[in-house]
Amino acid sequence: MAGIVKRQRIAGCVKSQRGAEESAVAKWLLIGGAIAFCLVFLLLPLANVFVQAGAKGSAGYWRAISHPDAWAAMKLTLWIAAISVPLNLLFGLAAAWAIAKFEFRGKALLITLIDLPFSVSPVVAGLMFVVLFGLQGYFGAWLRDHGLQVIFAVPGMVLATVFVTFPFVARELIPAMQATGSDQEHAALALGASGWQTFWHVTLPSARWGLLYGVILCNARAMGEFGAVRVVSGNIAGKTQTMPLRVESLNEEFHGQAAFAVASLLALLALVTLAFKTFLEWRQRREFVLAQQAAAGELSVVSPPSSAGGRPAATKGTRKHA
Amino acid sequence: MAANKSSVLPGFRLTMGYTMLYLSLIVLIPIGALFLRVFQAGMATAAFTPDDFDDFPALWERLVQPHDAASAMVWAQFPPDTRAALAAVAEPQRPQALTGALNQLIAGEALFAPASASNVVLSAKADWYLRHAPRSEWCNRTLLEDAFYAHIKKKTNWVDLWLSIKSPRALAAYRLTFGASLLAALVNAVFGTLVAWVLVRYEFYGRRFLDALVDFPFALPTAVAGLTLASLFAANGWLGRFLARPATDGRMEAITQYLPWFGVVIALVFVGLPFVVRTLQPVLENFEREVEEASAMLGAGRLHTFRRVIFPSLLPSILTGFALAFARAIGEFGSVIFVSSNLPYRSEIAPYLIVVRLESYDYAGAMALAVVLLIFSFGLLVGINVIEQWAGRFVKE
Amino acid sequence: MRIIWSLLLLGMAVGVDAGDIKLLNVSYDPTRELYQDYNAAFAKYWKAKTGDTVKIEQSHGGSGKQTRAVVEGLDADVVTLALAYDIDAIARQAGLLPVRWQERLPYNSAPYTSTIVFLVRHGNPKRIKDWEDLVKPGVAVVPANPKTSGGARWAYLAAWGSALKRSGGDETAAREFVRKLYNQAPILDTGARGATISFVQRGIGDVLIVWENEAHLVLREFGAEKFELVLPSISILAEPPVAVVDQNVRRHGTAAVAKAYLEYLYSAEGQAIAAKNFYRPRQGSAARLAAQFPPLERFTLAELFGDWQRVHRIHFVEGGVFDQLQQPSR
Repeated sequence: MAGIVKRQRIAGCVKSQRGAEESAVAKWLLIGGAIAFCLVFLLLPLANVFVQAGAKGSAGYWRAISHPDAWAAMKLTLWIAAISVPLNLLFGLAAAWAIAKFEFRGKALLITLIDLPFSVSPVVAGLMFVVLFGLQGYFGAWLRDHGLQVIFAVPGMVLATVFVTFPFVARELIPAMQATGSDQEHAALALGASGWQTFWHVTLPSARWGLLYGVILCNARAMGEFGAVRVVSGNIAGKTQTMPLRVESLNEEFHGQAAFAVASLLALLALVTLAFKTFLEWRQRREFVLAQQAAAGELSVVSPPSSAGGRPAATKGTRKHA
Repeated sequence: MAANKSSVLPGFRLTMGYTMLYLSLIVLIPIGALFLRVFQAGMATAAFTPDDFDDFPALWERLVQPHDAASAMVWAQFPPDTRAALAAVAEPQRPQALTGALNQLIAGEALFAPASASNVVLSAKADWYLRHAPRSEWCNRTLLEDAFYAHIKKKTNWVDLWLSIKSPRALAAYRLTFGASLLAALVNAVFGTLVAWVLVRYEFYGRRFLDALVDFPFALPTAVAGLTLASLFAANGWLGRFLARPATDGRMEAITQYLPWFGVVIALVFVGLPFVVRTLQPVLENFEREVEEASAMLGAGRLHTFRRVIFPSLLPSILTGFALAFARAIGEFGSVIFVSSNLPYRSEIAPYLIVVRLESYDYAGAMALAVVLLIFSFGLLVGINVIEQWAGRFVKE
Repeated sequence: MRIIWSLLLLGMAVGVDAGDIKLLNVSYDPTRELYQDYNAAFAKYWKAKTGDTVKIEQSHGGSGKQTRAVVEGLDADVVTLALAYDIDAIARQAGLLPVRWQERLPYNSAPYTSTIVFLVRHGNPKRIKDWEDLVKPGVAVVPANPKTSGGARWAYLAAWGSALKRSGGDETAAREFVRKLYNQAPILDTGARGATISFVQRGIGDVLIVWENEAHLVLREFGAEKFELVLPSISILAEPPVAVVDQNVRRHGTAAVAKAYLEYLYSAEGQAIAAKNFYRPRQGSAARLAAQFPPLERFTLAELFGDWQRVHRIHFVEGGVFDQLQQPSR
């Protein structure tokens, strides 16, 4: 089973039979094509953000990101993420436990429903909450009579964000929990552990990578959501303006550089997310290799990893991402 | 996968209950509310229907001396002078009074919510009559019908909803949304496969960096993506300057100007790229090299091997990635509106048209469009799950 | 559930800091700079008069978008929008203020006026002097989308009205002129501000059809050596109205300060601030004004089009004249 070695992403270094490799020219052409494509679609947009942000000197840059409204936008963005990520995390844990560890009818439908917010246009998502909580909507008048404001205030923006980031944690956790099966939990229960203990000490550690991926992606999306939040935000500078909304607003105030300055913070956030994700993948892979080596010491036959082994989150999680 | 049907594990009812509760609160109820709203709008029947005009004297009677609640309501909403003028018209052969009444109707107070598509045609027609028809024709019954139908009918019912769903502008928006999404997903399917292939199969300087960067479009807020792509492809942008062409006066014209859909496709390619790459990567990593080697040993050329051996087994994953990129592109909003020129009929995407309708107070039209998109995305999602199951079976075999 | 609600309430608490009188002014795009200046002036005036500190929050966006937000419950104390139709919508659809709101303040509740002018690139390479020049072949015109932008509505009506005036009231000629004009648009932004950015920063088009104040703002921000303002021979008298949102101020208890906020716009200082931000004030020394705002013939909405309801019904509803003009002929 030499396949495993190759699967550990050193394929290019392994000499393989003649004819099963492209010629060097073709290989470099392919690499060149891929790099060119990534350059145009990934690297240039990224670099452009930072170059534009610094185009007119650092003074303007600092002024833009130290503006009180910019601070307020950052605070609000963090708050919204801080509320919506734990909510979705809790849901993700519950849903993953129910779906991964039990069999019941309508499971496929439930999974599809959990996926639904992925494919709903953010604008439509925002519109739904306007229909529910807007003054002309179902609960708007009641809420107003009771002095509560949902739409065009923080709660509405949180709701829209929660909707849009709804599936992230669940979609990462379900395959991770499914992959480990339930044998360990059964063993723990048989040994007298309580349900909670089993969950905390057995299930959660084995699914921790999926959990972390989900949280990172959920967080990135929660901080960056634009379309849905735009529909439900009153866009009051310093009050209901998140960072992406501030980018739009600054752009419209002729402050191109300031817009890019705030945008550069968001791009930085994206880079941190990527770095963190890459780090997690590296840790996970290393654990996997160590486990393999340990296993190989005892057994001569190594079973190939399950589909959720190598890069589980990359398969399921990064997929329908908003 | 462990085949356990464990009822031994605790917590099913708790977690399942919470899952359902949360799902309902956050997803199902809002979606339901949207559908309910559209349904209500559709059920808001017209106070008067075209059939009412068949018995014109009776309709007249109803209007001037309203007996039923609906007509009374309609009648009450006319301004007093219009009411008086209309009452005068009830006596025949008073063209002046009729003119006055029609003028009131057409140019005066809006009696109801803004007119809908069908109303416009009718009110424009009535308007034309007023301006151009000879005075003797002002008693023309058709004119009256048109004018009344246009203004008495309540704004929304199924016909109007349907009209706003299939209005030419909406159709153009669907065409662009689906066309550009399809094109972008195709580009991603081709280049995403290439990128995934290169990342998995080759070792080269910067591979790890590139691998990490593939997720960038996920992590980057869409507004920022739109902003930077717009400035990249502007006439003086880093890329735009090579694609710009001289306009008639010698000034450079950006590609997003002379190809209005170009910006839309670029934005959608950007946001869709990770889907294809990340779907393909694990499949490629698990791909049995032995099969390729066997094919090579049997004398097949590399290209032949790729076409006959590798490509077919990758196809389900490519399709999944394609469908995911497609689904993502359909709903995309933030990045597109910055890059696109948003010209009606030419570069206006459907989610943007929803916003346009909302902002010109056409709520029913906006919601109708939203429901169309919602139904489509749900269908697409079911489709993707089917492909994935099929792909999963394929891989297992 | 309780957790969710308490978290939501917590979230609400974050957005609101405690303090003095708060006023929310929901306005449209090009007034950002005007109201930044005006808010400071008014706060000072109010402090001197009553001793209270008033903090004015601003929300800006396309006029249509802002109207929708107020109709759906954005808690505006005052609205200062691009056209009366939008405030009408708040009155009619949400009932937040009386239908006859426009009679409550002088000059149709429009403390300042503006008009629609052209902004061209330096040296006026396409030699654009008046409306007819816009439809010459090869001229790329940058308007905004009149369905979503208030300024763009005024621009659309200015174009239509100028053609009506030229042809002596021929609607067909006006329609043809406007059709040509919008078919020469390479881009149609949602808001007036978006159109300006396309023209100024992204270098799109030869001529921007724009609010007069916005054109001046561009000249100030980007330099008069890059762009030129062209006054057509005739244009529309644009009256951006202001109004107190009765229902909301009643709930907030801000009726008095909201009313004073709008009335102060008519004061000498308010008018001076408007003029400084390139809005044509209603009062002031004629000579000084003439220097800043060259006189031009301006027709009113009522004169050529009747009222906004009618204009909307004929031109801007889905399937209306504007949609018909945009539709590619086949």
